[in-house]
Amino acid sequence: MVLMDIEFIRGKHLVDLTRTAEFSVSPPSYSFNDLLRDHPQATDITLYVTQGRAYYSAKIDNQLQQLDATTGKIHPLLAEDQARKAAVQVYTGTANIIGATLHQHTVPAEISPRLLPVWQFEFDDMAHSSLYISATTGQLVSTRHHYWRLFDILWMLHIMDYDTREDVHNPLLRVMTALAILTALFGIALTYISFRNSTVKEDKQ
Amino acid sequence: MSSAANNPSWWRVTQTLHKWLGLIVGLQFLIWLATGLAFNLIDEQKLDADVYRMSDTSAAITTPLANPDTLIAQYQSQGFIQLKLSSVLNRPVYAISTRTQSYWFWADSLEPMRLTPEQLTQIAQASYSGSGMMNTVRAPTNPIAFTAQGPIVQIDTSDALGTRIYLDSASGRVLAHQNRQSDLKDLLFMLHFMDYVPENGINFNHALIQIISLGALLLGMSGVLTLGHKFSQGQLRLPRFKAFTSQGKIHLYSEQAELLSELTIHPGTLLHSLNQGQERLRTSCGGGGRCGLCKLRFVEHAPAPNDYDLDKLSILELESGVRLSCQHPAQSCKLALVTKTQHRFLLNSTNRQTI
Repeated sequence: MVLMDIEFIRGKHLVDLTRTAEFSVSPPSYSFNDLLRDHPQATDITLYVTQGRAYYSAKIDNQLQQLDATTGKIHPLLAEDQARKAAVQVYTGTANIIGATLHQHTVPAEISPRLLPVWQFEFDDMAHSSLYISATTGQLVSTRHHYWRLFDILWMLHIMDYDTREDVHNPLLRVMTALAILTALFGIALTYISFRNSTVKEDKQ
Repeated sequence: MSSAANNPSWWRVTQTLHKWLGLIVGLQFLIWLATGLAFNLIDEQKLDADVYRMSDTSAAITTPLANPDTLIAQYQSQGFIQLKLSSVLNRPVYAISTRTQSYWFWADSLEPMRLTPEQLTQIAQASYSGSGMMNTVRAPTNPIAFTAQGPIVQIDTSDALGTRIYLDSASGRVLAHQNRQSDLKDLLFMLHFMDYVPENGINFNHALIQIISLGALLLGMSGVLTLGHKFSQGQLRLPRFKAFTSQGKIHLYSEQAELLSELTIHPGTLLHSLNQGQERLRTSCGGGGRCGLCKLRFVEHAPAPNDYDLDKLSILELESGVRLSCQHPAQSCKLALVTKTQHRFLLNSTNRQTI
């Protein structure tokens, strides 16, 4: 595990968010004030630009929504081609997309359910990378790849929780660690004896 | 050293490697296990940094906002990423992020947000549910590694856990709470990750831990190989359920073939039986087949030599029936001492015993 760079595992190299930067932004005709007038309970309001168009993302009635920054209309879930463009925009590699799935109710085990609804794009690269694009806002929410999946298996072996891969307080790990500590103590005693005896031998010769 | 095979054999190299790796990684191995067991045993709440942390609830904004169009026009040349509306101390704030930096403005006036120490203290207080008093704002007292846009400040509280609150003075964001519990957790992680320079955050991708981990892996592998080799040489036996029956005696002779003593057979190696009760044969490796000091001559019916015999004894010795007594199981037999030193030691040891 120590040889695998954790930032690499987290997929930092796969995406570059500064690629979403826009150098010419036309002011939105539907303003923050308009949004708050139409949806007084809205929180976490963010204006962003994707593929040349400005949008708001906001939490309205505890649900993340995307609003058009020109008309103020709440958008339905992102269509595949829009989500695909968003994925390709942030992806640093050159591989093609070989799978696109919209997850609306259940998520693959490798990501959190609070990211729903989400588009999963699988790339035909060496590590079989997946980018997860929020189906509400079109923004990147997660990256996963084979090394992440491998690391997850190593983590399972590390904490000896073969079931949920989460519980570091499991009794199996406790018993094995306690036995291993005994083994290590005996080992340290043997090391001491082994090195002490070789000095005895030299004295005699 | 006289020996039949002068080239170092794989199992000797493996054993030497195991010994030295044990010396180098042994202590860290114990530290890994001890800190791992601590993480397993200690309840997560006892290591929790956020005992008094209040979750940020983003309240709806009711004050009228200034139009941010001028901000967007001003910063779009840096590469506009997003404009986020949040609130600091119940006052709305625009946070504009560009490719290079983020900037904060009061959203009702578009004035740049500059937080005073008093305001930072109020933000800290709002994130805190404990009953401790807030001390004055100061620079962090110990190395911390949070990503922040502006200088990081620390506010100590007077509660029993010694809670400290860290804020990003540019955004007014509460970066973290820390306390004595989380200090223990950080210490355990520091030891577990061997990261003794935690200024850049505690991480496990550095050369020291990589080298020691590889050493530990080799220690384990050389241990398994050595165990397998010893087993194949008949040095280790699986526990037998049949009771050990000792029949006959070990007859021990001097180099000049005079009978010195008759010894009872005990389960284990010949060396083990010979040294039962008193040390008659001096060794330095304690019976590992490594020093060659326990060599004795079988007067008759010498068993086939194993790798350890072949390694430590000359061809002449092997042909005359000399074997390492630590390498062969105790049985009824006639053994003769090989060196004067052995004889002298045996006499001294017998004298010591009788005095």
